[in-house]
Amino acid sequence: MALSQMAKIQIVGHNSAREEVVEELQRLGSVEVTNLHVRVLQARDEQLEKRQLEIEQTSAYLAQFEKRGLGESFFPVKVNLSEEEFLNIIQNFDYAQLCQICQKLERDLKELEANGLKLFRQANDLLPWKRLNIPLEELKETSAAKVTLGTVSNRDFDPQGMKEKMEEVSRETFIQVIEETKSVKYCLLIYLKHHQEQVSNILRESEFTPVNFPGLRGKPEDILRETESRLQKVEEEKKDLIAKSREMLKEKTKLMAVHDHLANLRERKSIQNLFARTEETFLITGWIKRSHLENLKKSLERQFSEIDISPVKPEKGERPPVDLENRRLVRPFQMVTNLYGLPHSRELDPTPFLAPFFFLFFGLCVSDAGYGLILMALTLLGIKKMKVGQELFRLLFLGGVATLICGALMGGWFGIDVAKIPRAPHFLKSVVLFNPLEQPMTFFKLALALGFGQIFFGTVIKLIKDVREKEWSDALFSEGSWLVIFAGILVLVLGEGLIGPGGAKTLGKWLVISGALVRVILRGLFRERKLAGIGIGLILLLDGLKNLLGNVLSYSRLMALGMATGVIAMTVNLVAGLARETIPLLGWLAMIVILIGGHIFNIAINTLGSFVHTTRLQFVEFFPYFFEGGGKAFEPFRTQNEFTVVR
Amino acid sequence: MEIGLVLAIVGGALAVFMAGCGSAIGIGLAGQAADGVMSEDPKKFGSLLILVALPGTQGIYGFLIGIMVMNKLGFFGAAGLAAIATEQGWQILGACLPIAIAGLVSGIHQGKVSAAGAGVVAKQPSDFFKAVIMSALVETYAVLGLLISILFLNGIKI
Repeated sequence: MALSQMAKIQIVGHNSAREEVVEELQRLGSVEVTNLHVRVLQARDEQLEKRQLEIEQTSAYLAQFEKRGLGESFFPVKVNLSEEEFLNIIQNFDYAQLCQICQKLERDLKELEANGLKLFRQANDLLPWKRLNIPLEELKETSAAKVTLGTVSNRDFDPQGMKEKMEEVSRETFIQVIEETKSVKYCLLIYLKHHQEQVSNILRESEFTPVNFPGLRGKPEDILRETESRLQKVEEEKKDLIAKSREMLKEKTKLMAVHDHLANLRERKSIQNLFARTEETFLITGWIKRSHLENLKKSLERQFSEIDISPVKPEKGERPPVDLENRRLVRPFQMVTNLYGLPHSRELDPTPFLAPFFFLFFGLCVSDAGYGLILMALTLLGIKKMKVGQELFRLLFLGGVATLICGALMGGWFGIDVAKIPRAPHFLKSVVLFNPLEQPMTFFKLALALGFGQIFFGTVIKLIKDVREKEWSDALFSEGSWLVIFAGILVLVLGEGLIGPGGAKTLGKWLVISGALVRVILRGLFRERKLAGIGIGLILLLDGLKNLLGNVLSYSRLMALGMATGVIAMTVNLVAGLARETIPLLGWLAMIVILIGGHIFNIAINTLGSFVHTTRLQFVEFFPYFFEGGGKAFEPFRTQNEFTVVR
Repeated sequence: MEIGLVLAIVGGALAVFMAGCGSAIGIGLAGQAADGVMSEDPKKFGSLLILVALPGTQGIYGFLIGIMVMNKLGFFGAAGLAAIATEQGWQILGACLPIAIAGLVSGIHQGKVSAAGAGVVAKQPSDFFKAVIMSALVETYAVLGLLISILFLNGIKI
């Protein structure tokens, strides 16, 4: 229930066994290799990198033909393989061939697409000329006449005017409008070469744009028909290629297995850059959990004769990496600690301290027994069926348990007060402590009390830590004095019932005052050793009190979030009821849809909100009282698979 | 309809639409940034969805107060609308303001923090939850507004 004990080791061996030792280390996955910062030959395998790149490209190509569900965007899907299957694939699967096939498919597909685009553009350009009943190749100039196609803007074009102007120049001019759209007119124009200059001027004035179809033969209509059929063929070929690619998709799993294998091979190479090497030997240093040391020794010494594994002393100031180790029930909460950052190597693991508070706070925030049941069922399903996100599911399962408990204590079942359910078992009615909607102030006080409790607890942990680290002045003047002040506040608030109003007032007052005096005066005199220290102490005291007030009030969010769940759930029920009464015939159906949809929405949004805010209370309100953090995570050198799970 | 009832309805409406506007603007900001990240890496949809959904709570809080006001005024009961004196109307209107205004402003700013968080998801995906916490820091003030609105409404006798 703390941090794992780490040992530093060094491994010395003969170069002939190096590769195999590295392979064994990766398989065991228990050693974090530290960098010896010795310049060695860059151990890099370019061949390997090239192959990996090829596989990545191929899998990216294949991925576009995959059908992906919405669920997979939340959780990355890994492929399950047994060890035999995995080995079989690595040894026998000819991935190079698959890559080649896919590369060819990709090339062909691109070519077809380019081709199709070209045809499509041609058809588009030709379409307005469909009614031109002359083969295109015949539209060329004769010895005396010029024949040209062209477009003019429809807005300021006056064909009559242009014709008249042309005819002024020459009688032998022919203009025919082939097609007309809102903005453009498509024309065929024939005139005598003799009048080229004048005609050109008129054409420029009317912004005539000549159009050419080099290389095309036949009547536009015929060409169009042919283009159409070619386009169709391209589409068919494309479909064929896509179908072939889809066919390849079933090999993708194998491809990903090879990808993972190659990545691990590469890791084996690159880890060697951290070693020190001589002509004949190599030296590895690294961290290992004490509990794994024996196993490593046995395993390596059995296989290799020329090897030595011995513990070494860490260098001065060197901090071991950190790994959390907790009991089964607390383990899911490690996720919360991990989210914040790990404790440093000589610190206490905050996980067991935050676990009970996290559990309780989450339950209070969601606070509906029915929702708790559903959350438990869903997360249980996740634990059984999903391959990833196990930690989160386990944590949320515990959250569901807490929700069920807190919800039952407050009598909320799917937004219905258990007291108003006529046939609810008596047991459920009798466990209800209070109804948050009728007694919001009770909930409010409970939230603040829990907050005060957690801060008190945090200060106690800090005190223990001070004592452990022999920081006596901190223990006495800082945490010690605070605890006296807290105790005084506690007596002031709660003492009335125990020792009478007068006694509580006096005792509480003096506890607070004496704590404050220790904090300000003794601290100033002993620690700072001068009178100015008193001033600093006073500022620190006021700052601490201000923080205490703010932090405790911050816990009121527990009540606000808890009530929000209940009121939204009630609203869902209300709207569903209205739907049943007001909608004729299908009222029942509408009611069921609203009930299911509404409650699922409420569960989702409240689980998210509760998780976030409960976590925040740990990080922002609880941790500053005792937790430093800043540890480096233990990352042993091991086999890591991105796409496959081998078991 | 008496002035009191009108004022109370205005209060409930303010809570719903101001907090709702805050959420809408916030989600809008965060959603744009998230779509930008997704255009590069659609696999991050899950993390981004959480970030984008965060500024949505203000709207829900406002809606919740709206429903509480309606309940208080007797919109859902069989007995019909309650008689609300003018000063009671003002009281209810005032009770709605904390969530209305805190919801509007915090929704927008939470959206901005979430939008920046989308950058964290893009560049440091493993630290995504830290961005969620940053965004939730803003929400605190909407929660406090909600709390005071609830306590006010509960204290007003009709």
